[in-house]
Amino acid sequence: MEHTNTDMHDNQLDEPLAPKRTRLEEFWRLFKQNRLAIAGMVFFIVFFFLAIAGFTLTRGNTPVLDPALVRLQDKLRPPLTRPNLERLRPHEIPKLGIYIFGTDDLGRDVFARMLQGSWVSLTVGFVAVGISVLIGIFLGGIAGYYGSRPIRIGQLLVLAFLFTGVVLLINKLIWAGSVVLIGSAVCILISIQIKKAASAKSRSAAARLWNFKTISIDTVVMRFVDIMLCFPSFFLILTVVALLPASIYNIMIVIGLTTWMGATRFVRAEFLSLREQDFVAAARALGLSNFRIIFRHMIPNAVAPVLVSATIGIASAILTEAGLSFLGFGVPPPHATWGNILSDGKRFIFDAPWLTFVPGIAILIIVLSFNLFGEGLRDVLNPKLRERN
Amino acid sequence: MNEIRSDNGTILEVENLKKYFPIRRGFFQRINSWVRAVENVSFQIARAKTLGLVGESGCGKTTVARLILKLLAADGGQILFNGQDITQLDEKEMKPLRKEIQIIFQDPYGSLNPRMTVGQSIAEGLKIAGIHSRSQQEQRLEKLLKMVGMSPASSDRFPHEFSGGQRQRVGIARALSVEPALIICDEPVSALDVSIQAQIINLLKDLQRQLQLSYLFISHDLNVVGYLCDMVAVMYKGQIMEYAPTDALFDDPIHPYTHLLLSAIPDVDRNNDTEMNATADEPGRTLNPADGCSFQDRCPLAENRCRHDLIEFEQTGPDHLVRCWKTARDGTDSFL
Amino acid sequence: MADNEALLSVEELKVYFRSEDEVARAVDGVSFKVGREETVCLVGESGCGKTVTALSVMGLVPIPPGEIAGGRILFNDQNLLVFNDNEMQAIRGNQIAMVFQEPLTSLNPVFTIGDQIGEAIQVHQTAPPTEVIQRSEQLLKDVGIADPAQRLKDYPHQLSGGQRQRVMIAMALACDPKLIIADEPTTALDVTVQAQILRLLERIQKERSMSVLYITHDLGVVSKVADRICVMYAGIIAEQGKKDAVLKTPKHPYTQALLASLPNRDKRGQRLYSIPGTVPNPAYKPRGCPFHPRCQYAIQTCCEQFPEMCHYGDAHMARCPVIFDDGREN
Repeated sequence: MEHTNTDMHDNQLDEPLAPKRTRLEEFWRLFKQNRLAIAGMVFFIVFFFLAIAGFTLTRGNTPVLDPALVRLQDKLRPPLTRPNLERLRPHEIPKLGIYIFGTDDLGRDVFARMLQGSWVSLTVGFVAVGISVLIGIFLGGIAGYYGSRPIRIGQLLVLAFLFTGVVLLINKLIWAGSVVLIGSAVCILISIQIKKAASAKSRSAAARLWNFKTISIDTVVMRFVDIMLCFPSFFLILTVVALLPASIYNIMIVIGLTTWMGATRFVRAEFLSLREQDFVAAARALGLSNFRIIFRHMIPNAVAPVLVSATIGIASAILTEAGLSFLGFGVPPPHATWGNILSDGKRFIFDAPWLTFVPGIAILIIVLSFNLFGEGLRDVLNPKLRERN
Repeated sequence: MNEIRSDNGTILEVENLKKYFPIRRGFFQRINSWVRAVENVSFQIARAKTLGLVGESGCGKTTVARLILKLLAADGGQILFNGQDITQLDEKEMKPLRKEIQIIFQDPYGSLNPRMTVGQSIAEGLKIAGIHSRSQQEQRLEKLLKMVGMSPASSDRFPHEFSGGQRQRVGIARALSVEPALIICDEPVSALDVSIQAQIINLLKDLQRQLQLSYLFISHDLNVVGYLCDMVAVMYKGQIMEYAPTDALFDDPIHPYTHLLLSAIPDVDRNNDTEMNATADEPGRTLNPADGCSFQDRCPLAENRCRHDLIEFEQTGPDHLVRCWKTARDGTDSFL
Repeated sequence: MADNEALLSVEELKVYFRSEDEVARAVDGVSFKVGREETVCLVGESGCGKTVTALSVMGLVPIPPGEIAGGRILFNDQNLLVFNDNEMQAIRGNQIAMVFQEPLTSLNPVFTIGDQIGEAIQVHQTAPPTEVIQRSEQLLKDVGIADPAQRLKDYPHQLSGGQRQRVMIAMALACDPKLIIADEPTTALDVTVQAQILRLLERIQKERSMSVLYITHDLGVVSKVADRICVMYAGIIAEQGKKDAVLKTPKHPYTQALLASLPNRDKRGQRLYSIPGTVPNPAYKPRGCPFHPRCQYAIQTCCEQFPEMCHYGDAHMARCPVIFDDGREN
């Protein structure tokens, strides 16, 4: 063989193959191929700025566009009509000089009300989904990473004490709450004592009872998810909302607290598969802490699919809020939301169809665009699909 | 080859290592039976030497690797690293030892975190090694990348920008970042193209010479093992069947399974027409040790004794151990 | 080998893959012949175009993004590239059959082995059910599966990897094809099983006087199965010829380097030769000879001019004039 083993070649340093492209550039290159997703994203951005504009223009005592100003002289005006300047008092004349979306049965400017409602939709969508994603990442992460570890009786006691303590405190039973919380602290102390004693290899019966293994964390979390999924979520929300004082914040929290199950399942599945990946094994072999492995190695890799489901989740949260408001359980009047505009308008559907069509079409467009955007994201972020490109 | 096992030079000694996985069945997930993934595995690795662990897929090679790294807990036996049994250590006591044993994986795509740059991946190890200052880290990073033949400009790139061979180099650099004494190579070249394979093998050899590294080289490719390793252990269904210095194993294989493996090597330079015929296609059921030799289903020499007696690991020559009573006692390979 | 003996003749085949801003020339002017009852190996590293070549013979290149940019594929003197879908369907599985790399995913998990072999028979031939079962059993027996009647009722997951690959081969044989294309059929298998499958293919080929186009990256396997070898690199055939000629007296620097870089026990203690650099991206292939950046004999011409095929007699050809000119060959 005439090929000699020259060391010369091996001293050359390898340069990266691909031209330098950040992940963002790569993402954008793939994303822009999907026209529908681009359209969804454009609508999303427009909606985002409209909602912010709506928030700034309609708040305060003398808002630029007053969504609550009643002008009975100008009621049920169709879209794009000019206000009746002779009969309106000066402060009642709309600043735009035109009713873009017409007026409702009380002569309120539908455009201003839609703007105000868009802010509600945006915040409800984002906050509710934010809550559900946070819960999902936390519970799903625990179930996925520590899944097979059993909960010991001692730990169960600590958790039970903590939970009841917090519940009592929230219900303003300060004394009872504090006592129970101290109980949980005592339990933690006992655990530490037992752990110290256990290293001496002599285990008392009490210690063995204390360390008795009950069900695994994964079982607890996932069965809880199953239970939550048993309730038809819209009626669960309705029930909770009926019990709580009606406010926009309660709506957000309730929607968030009843929709985290999907995200939990997602994150758990991602964690289960990530846990078997070689780079996680390598991180463990390097001796990195669990904390670092979870936050540096696993969550960033699990977050992409969660982001996708979150985007679609925002659409359904907006829809849920609109549904609640339509049924009258949502944000209380006089605050306008798309749902209650729709609800108010339904009585005049033949006389003033714009009162139902305008919010209806707005909801349709936003939900559709979020779904398209989310599906576009999924196509790009899914590595299996990416390899085809 | 005898100097390999000079006792003071042993870095890792595995003795009667066991790992059983439960098979759960039914509604209550009761443990139905056990898979003996690793059964009484023993071997030693000398300082700055390479032990090859050979076997077909599913024979337990990778489980051995994970047991040594303590990614899995052993069910029995000892793993002595520099004379210290690591199976009994808890996570805290293990931490300083983690640096000493590192791993390189087969799949260059799964072994790097896709969300971290090459530099960040390697720097994690540097922090563990106690290099905290940024400038020192950068210096060391550059040196490590050069050591594995990568340009220092690679450090702010993401893994997806590299080819398989380049990623494998990065994986090696990450392993080296904590200055280990032993590296477990889990099929590090079997996913690579022929031309790249030679680069990585040369790199591993150079690093061994420079840094006095010991390797546990896990592979199914006997050509690579024959080229790279000093000692070879042949594994079959969780047990080591034959353990010998490379030359002895290739020149005078004793165990029928080793014969079968060697005859199946596709090699350009040799035309071995004397292929051994196994009686069965591939590994069948897994057996208890009491049921005799685990190779009995495929062994052309299997007799009644093989099906009932416990087969011991016996010495047949200097450093040469075999788990087959037949050939071990005769000392000849009468069946070819 | 005279022309009229060729069963399959690929001439100047070009297959490109277009994406929005680049054209990947996966196969870039490949010519080779497969004679009757001959085994030809296409050997090369990943991305060299060997699988795309095979897929275009089967008419399975996805179009778009793929496109046949030129050349002819003559099978029994008919150009397969001008065939429409129906005509191709009649050839595929019937006269040309394919065995894939991954035996687990190539079999449908929800049907029994019997269903799938039966289907393979019935696609091209009409036969009463009893005859189909009979023939399926015979096929399984032919590929060395014990107790075929029982196995026909099994589902793919009940078989081992080697057995699944045997079933795949049985399906390929269902209609007595003249040519079998085997795309890395043993890569996913253990060495001992691989040896058995290779022996099986050899036996079947002799018994049924078929031709085999065998695609692999493993030169060791090539040395066991091939009659003739085509070494591919970056979409071209770098060297082709009889097995012994190519493996014992390789003419192209790439073939030489590949052989030199194979590890084995006899090279212990020596340093392995390693080809520097990596396989070029098919969208950004270097000008001139695609191998020149990694070649230790490269001269100025190599960077500028696409190399000619040089003939060494007995159908041994290599696309490298440099070594030939220097008289540096062994």
